[in-house]
Order: sequence, then C-alpha cells, then structure tokens
Amino acid sequence: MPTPSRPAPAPATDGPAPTGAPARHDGPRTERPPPSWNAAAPEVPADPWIVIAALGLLTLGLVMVYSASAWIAREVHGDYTYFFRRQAIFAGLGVVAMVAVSRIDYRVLRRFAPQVMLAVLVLLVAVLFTREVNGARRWLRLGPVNLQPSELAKVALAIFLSALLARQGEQVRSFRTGFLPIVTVAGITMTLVLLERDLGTTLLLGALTVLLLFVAGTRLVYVVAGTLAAAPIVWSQIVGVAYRRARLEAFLESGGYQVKQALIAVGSGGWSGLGLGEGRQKLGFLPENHTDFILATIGEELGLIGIGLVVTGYAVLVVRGLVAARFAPDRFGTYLAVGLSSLFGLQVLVNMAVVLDLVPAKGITLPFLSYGGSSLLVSLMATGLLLSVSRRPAPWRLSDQRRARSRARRGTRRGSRPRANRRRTTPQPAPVPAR
Amino acid sequence: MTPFGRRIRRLAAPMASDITAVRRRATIVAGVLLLALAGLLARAYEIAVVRRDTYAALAKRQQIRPKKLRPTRGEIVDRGHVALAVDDRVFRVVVNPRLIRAQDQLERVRAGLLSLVPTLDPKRLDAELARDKAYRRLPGLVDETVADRIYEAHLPGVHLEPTPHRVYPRGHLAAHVVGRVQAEGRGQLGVEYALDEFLHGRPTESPSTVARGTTLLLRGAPDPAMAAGHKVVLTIDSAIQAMAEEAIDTLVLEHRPVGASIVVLDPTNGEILALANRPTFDPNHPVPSLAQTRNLAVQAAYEPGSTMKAITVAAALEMGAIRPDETFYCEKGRWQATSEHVIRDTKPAEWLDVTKILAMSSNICTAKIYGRIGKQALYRWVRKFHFGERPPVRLPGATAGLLDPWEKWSDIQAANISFGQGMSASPLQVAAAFAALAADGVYRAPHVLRHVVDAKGNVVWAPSIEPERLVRPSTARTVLRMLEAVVASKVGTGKNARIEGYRVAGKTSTAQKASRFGGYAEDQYYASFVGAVPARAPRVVILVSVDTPEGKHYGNAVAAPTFARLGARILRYLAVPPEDERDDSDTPAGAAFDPERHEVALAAAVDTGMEPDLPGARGKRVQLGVPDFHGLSMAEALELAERSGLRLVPKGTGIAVAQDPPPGPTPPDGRVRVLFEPPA
Repeated sequence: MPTPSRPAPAPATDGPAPTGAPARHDGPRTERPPPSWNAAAPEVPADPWIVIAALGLLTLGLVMVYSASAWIAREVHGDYTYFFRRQAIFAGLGVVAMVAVSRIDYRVLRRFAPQVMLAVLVLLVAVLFTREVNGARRWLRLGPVNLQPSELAKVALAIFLSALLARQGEQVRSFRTGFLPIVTVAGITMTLVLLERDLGTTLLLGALTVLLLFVAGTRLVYVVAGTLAAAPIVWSQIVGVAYRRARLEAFLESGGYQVKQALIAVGSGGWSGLGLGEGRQKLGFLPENHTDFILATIGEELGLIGIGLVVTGYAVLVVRGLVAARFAPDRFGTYLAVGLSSLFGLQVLVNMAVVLDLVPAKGITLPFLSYGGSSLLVSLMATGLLLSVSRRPAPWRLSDQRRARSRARRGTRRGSRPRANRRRTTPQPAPVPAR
Repeated sequence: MTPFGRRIRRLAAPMASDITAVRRRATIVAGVLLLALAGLLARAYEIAVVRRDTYAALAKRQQIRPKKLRPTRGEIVDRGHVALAVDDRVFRVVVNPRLIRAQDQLERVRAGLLSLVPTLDPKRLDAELARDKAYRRLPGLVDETVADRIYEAHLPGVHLEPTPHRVYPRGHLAAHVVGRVQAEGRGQLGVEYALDEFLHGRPTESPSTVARGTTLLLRGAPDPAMAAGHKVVLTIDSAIQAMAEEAIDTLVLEHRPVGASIVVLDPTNGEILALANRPTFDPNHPVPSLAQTRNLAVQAAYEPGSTMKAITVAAALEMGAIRPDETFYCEKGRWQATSEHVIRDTKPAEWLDVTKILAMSSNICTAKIYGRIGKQALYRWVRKFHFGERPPVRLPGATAGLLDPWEKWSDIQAANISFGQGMSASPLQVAAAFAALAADGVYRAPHVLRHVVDAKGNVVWAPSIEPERLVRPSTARTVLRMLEAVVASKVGTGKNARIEGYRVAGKTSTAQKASRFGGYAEDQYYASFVGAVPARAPRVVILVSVDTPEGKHYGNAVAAPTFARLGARILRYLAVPPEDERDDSDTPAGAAFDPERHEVALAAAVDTGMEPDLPGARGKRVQLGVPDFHGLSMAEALELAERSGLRLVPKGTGIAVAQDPPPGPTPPDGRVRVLFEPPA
C-alpha cells in the first residue's frame, strides 16, 4: 500500500473542527452518519466505575501492604506500621492528585507533551548519576521522597506517543514521518530505562509503544520488523547480564526461590485463603511480598477469590478505560486512554504472570496494590487522566496545541473559545480527515 | 481535495487512522488484555485449587517446625494431693574454657560468673577455666532467676543446661514409698521406680511457625502438660504418715532396734495410709548407705510369730474343728509335741478356752488346735491369707516371704507354723492378713496407689482390688472379739496397747530370729504388735514391728506402746467417736447390739457371691431372702433358716435335696419347705 510521502498538512486530525472549515467530502457519500471523535459530545461526569475500581484496589492494597509487611517492618524498622504508614501517606497524596488531574483538561498534556517527555528524559538521565541501590539506579532522592523516574516514564511516554500519533493521523503508516519518530523517542526512553537496569519497565515501554502504534493504525510490517530488530538487543540484555540470565535459567528450571515461594503462598491459600493476616509466607519466606509479590500474599490470605476480585478490578479498569477511549472527544484522548488502560493491563499481566510462574521474574509492580510511592502516585495520576478523558471535558484555552501556530497564521482565531466553536459546528458533519 | 488525495483514498480505503478502525483495534486490544487476564485467572485456579495439596504440603514443610518441649516428670502426691515429689527447673552452668581463652575473655567470664553465682568457689572456677577442655560442668545448680541473669550477661563460652532435678518437699516423709530418682532422672527406688513408665515425661513436639530462623508460636505457647509425665496419687495420708514417722522415731530412740516398721492400713479397702521404716533416708540427697533405702515393711521377711495364732484359730473355727468356747489343756508350759521336740509357753497354764489361748498367746494350745485341722488344711488356710505370695503392692522388691509346701513340712514345723515360726512374711503381709479378719473376713490386697492421672486429670491407671472372702463374717468377728481379750483382759499379753476410749483387737508377737548359723538366736527377737481399732468396726489396722530391739524384747513392751500412742492420734485425726468403756469387752455387747442380726445385714452388704472356698464346699448362699439349702444337714439348714429369719418346714431326713420356694426373694409367709434325703 503506497503511503503518501507528504500527506495533507495538518488534516484536522482531531479536536474541535477548525472554524469555518468547509466540509471536505469529496468521496462517495455514505448514508450512515459520519463517524466522529464525539467532538460535539457534552461534558459528562467522570466514569464512576473507574473510580470504584481504582479506590477499591487502592484500599485492598493498603490492607494487604499492611498485612504483608507488618512482620518485615517490625524486623527491619522496629515498627509494624512502617510500610503501611508510608503507603497510606502516598495513597492520600495520590487520591488528591487523581482528583486534581481528573479535573483538568487532559488536552493540556497534549500541548505540553514534549516538555513533559523532555523533563522525564532529563530525570532518567539524572538518575544514572545517583548511587546504586540493590545493583540498580532507579531512585532519585528528592528530599524525603524517593522518586522513581522510570515509573514516570511510562505515563510520560504514553502521553507523548498519544500526542505524536494524534498529530500524525494517517501519516502513522509512513515509515519516515510516522514510525520513525515514534520509535526514536520510545527507543531513547527505553535505552535510558535499560541503563537503569530495569529490563521489565523497558519491555513494558516497548509493549506500550507497539500497542499504541497498532491502535493508531501503523503498518504491522514495521511493528514486526521493529520487534525483530529489538529481539537481539533484548536477548543480549538477558543473556549478557548475569542476574537476568540467572533469573531466566531459574525460570526454565522452575526453581526460582521467590517464584517458588509465591506459588507456595498462592497454593496454600486455596479457594478462600487462610484468612486476612493469617498468611505465613510473609514471615521471611517470600521476599518482597509487599511490593512485586503482593499478589502472592493476596492469594495466600484471600485465596483464589481474592485474586479473582483483584483481576476483576483491573478488568473493570481496563474495560472502562477503553470505553473512555471509545467516547473520547478527540484522537489524542482516545490514544491516551488506550495507552493508559493498556499500561495498567500490561503491568498487571506481567506482574501476575511472574507471580504465577508463567514468565521469568521482572521488577514490575502491581498498580495500586504493590508497596511503592512512585508507582502508587503515578498509577493514581494516570487514573486521574483516564477520568479526565472519560469526562469529555470542554477544551481549555491552554489545551490548544496549535494555538501558537494559529495565532501566527490567523489572527482571527485569537482568543476564540473552542467550546463555542464546537457548539456551532455541532450540526455539521465532523471533519473526517482526508477521507 | 487534490486528485492526488483522491487516489490515496481510493487505494488506502478504509484508512488506518479512521475512527472506526481505531476503535476496532482498541477493542481488539481490550479483548486480548481481557483474555490474558482470564488466562491468568485460570493459571491461578490451577495453582490455588488443582495443585493446592502439593503447595500446601510444601508450605507446611517449610513453615511448621515442631517445637520440642522439655519433658517433665510427673508428681507424686498423697491421697489429699499434697505433693511428695515434684520437678524443679534448675540449670547447670557449663563453660568452654578453650573458647573463653581463645576470645581472651577469661577475666570477664570469671568476674561475671563469680558475681552471678555466689555459691561458686573461685578456686574451683579458676581450675576449671584453666583446663584445656571445651566442655566443663561447673559444680552446683542454679535456679531460674540466676540462670536468666547469666543468660542476659551474654558471657562467651558459658552455657546453661536444663537439668532434671527432683525435689521431695517433705524430705524423708514416706521416703520408702515415694523413693527417689537417680542422676539421670529415672526412678531408682519406691514408686519413682515402680511407676517410672507413668511418671517420666515424654519429649513432645508442638507445631510452631518458623519466621526466618526464629520461632513463632502458632496457637499460643504449647501446653507444657503435653510433655509432662503422669501424676501418681498415693493412698498415703500425709498426716497419718507424719504421725507414724514421729511414732517410729520415738520407738527407735527408746529401743535402738536394727530396724523398725509401721504399717497403717484401712481394712475396708486395703489402702495403705502410712508406711514408715527405720532406718530411712532423705530422697533429696544421695543416700550414703544402701541399707537405708530398704523398705523393711515390704521387702524384709520375718517370722511373724504369734500373730499367726489368730489365723490358725480363724481357720479352725471356720472349719468347725473347734468351738469358740472349747477348752484345751496347755500342759503347764511344756509339751513334748513329738518325740524329739518340745514346745514351750512363756506363761505356763493348764485349761484355757480359745479366747484365753489367744490372750495368753499359748504356743502349746495353738499347736493343739492345729492338730485338729492337720497340715494340709493349715497350709491351705495360711495360703488363703496370702502368705507365701507377693502382694500386688507395686513397690519394688516386695517379698513373698517363705512358706514351704505342706508336703515338705515336718510335724514340728507344721506345729511351729501354727504359731508363726518356721515361715516368714513381710510386715505388710501380716498387716493385710490381719486386716482381712478386721474386715469381716474379706481380704483386700494392700496397695499404696490410688490411681495415676494424666495432666488433664483423667485416670490413666488404677489398681483393681478384688475383695476376696476368706472366712465367714461370723468367724472373723468371733476371732476379733477374742483378740480384744489380748489387750483388755487381765491375762492378756498386749495390755500396753490399750487406747483410752476405744476397744482394741490386736495380737502381740515376739519371734525368735533365725540365726545365721542355724537354729534360733537366743538374744535376737522380732517383736511386733498388730491391731485393729475400734475393734467392733475397725477403721485402721496398725502394725508396729521392731527388729532386734535392745533391752526388752516382748511385743507388749516394745511395739504395743507405740501402737497405742499412734492409734490414739490416728483415731483423733480420723474423728472416730470413742466407744462406751463401761461395756465389758470380754462378753458380747448388750441388748442394743444384736450380733446375729448385725452380722447378717453386714454380710449381705459386703459379700455377694463371695463364699469361703472350703474343702467340702457348700452351695452358695443368698444372705437376704431365701438361701440355698442344698447339701446342708438339717441342723445347718435350721440354723441358716433362723439366721435368715425364715421358718423351715423340714421333710424327710439326711441332706437337703430340694426346697420350695427356690433361692431368691422371701415368700410372704416366711416359710420354706425343704426335702431331706439320706445321702446315697
């Protein structure tokens, strides 16, 4: 399929239709109402399902973090509630952040996506110059808080790629103008994360990129080729790095200590579990059982029913996130919602697959449940973004990414209220880009 | 739109970035993610449900560690659960001199130990620390408080070993019954030895959760009772035992014997209330001499002496060989019993009735009574009273005594046995046989154990004491009545055994001890007194035996006063009401006490289906209601009918062969017709 080397300039990919833009329907008219990005959709309340799922998981996470970490907290810090208190503080901050983010217009992020991306890249570079912790450099000490830039990188990349893809429109099928910029940015981010020795997040970012590209409609050839090109790198990263190789070998022999302990935890839980707080694997048998392996503790104490509840929670989050994408008022919103909800889904999949001994161990947290301030904050802010998308908010003035350009080109648009514009264009068929 | 654009649209339709296409792909993404989540759930199901047992077993294996519980030895308590032997938590201090010197901590350890264990001898400690050894036990034991302090001091190379330590809070009280344990904590003597199987604790394990090396107790602290041995409850009454110990101490001070024993029995059930011996020992300390540990009352066999006369008389009466009021000629103290042997009495006499024979303890007349029943019957009767047989008292080393089978008896030996020489028995055997007479002729094996209970109080073991009828109640009562004369009559040999306010039925005994060189030693006696009080309804049987006293040697002089003193105290302790002393103890009681009626009622209460097993056995008798007259002569039948309160209507002569009504409930008219027929 030939790709236009130079597609129509800025073919109104999304968002409010340009004022006074004539309906450009040259093609054969169809009887059905033209599909739209719901540009005219009125603002609605935020999706309660997402709130319920997120807060439910968050609450369960707090309980389970306490249950899982009380013993180790007492052993290491002399205080049963050490981890619980920290997690509770971050949960409080996170909920505030979530509500705040859900109140803003997500399109602001589209406009500032490059800046956000750049800031995160700077942080990712900065973190490389910090002290090593547990053989990895992942944390930036910012006063009392340990920030994990790679957590931020996930959301930042989702935002940036969504913005870029939304801008590209049909150009996504082009290699040079579509695929290449995307892969370049994603590649730089992944490389930086990889330098932190965080292969799990790197692969997650890769998967996110591929998913977004797929949803945006790129050529599968590129995706496959890109994946194949990346495969040797991944392979060398796994086989060439001692501890990852050990993990892989451990997985292949199904003898990894941590995973084995996780299986014992889940297995001894059975249908209904040993009861909240009754778990025993947390007594020093299962390391990191309050962070990456919290699902094992859930399985042990709440049983298969507990795991089912958790999975249901995430399923609701992912489905409602994609529903938000379906009804998003613009292309960026759609891509963003798809990116964020699939980011949740992917993390959950990878984490649970590790705990349930389906893939080799990776350092991926379970959003909302695992102990970890950065992860929790980022997850809740991402939820706030999803909520914002689900709200279909009226665009703010700040949101218009082309405002500067428009101002330069057309003085008339200066100060115009996009909302008013949209209202006016409501009866018109929405712009169908280069249909 | 340019033609260029149109061409694109035609070729590329539908466009990849089209809204519907984007949504379709988003749906695909959602589907894939949900499918993957469902797959994970399936995997979780496989682990949590399908392979649950495997993982649960693995979990148990690593999480649950048995916690070992230190076994503790069970207690020994008296009948009122007063502790006689208990376990204490003590520790032995062990040092590793090599390690201490290697760590250069000698001064610190030395100063620490000396300040914490004040009993430690500095020189001994220095000597131990100077040795090139890795394990040295320091002398002495420390209790828990000191042990805790040593533990908290964290002295290098110093360890604490929990050491079994048995404490006998009452010292030598009932030491021979309780016994003691040896250094390893196993029973060595007495009940500690005999019931070691019950007493010793079992190392027990209790499940506990392991948390990175430390132990978490899963369901609270394990019950230490799980590892504890059982508790042995004795029949001993500490108060009576203490009285017996005091009495025997007085006795020993007075008479300086080689050995002495006191046995206090409850004749109604065979329980040993007190058992004291001299010499004795304190089980809390190592015993210097083995002789001290010997439980003379159970392990030593003496010739019982005159006590046996009561048995001989009871046997003769039961067999009908003599009448209670029959008189015998006592040969003025010297009787050529056989061509070679002469039997002598200490108090020469001529004609004596049976009561007087017992009261004056005439050997000659007892031998004559024996002459009425013969060797075989005497042997059977002596065996019936459980002589020559180990009593099931469950105290180690209980002797059976010596009793040759009657076929081996020479004529003179048989005569000797009738008054308690030429055979031997332990004091306990004598007391038990006497108790059978005191209990209306029913023998109950003497025992020192009430029961064994586990930590929860469930009875684990209890002795089964089968009451056994030896003689008819009337016979037993007659003999006991005669024995009252021993103490009460002017000619009695046991006048020192009188207890103010109570009738005493007892028998003195002064036996010559067999010499090591054959024959009897002239100056060595075994003096004893055994008696039952109150005589008409005995509550206790007390035996006092003295082996080789200095000076006086008669049972009346040596043993009877101790019996009286101890008996008085015990009766007061048991709150037995004093009897009316105006009753003449030689004659049966007055109108208020109808012996015949009393006898029948009592017999019915104690024996059901227990009948003396005599040569020429009679049919069993129902004591209340219509008895079985079969096989009785008419005189016997008439007597029995009268005792049963029935009117006998005899028919024919000879032996009873049929009766109407049959044995069972009394008919309304109180008549029994019995058919007698001459024996074939």
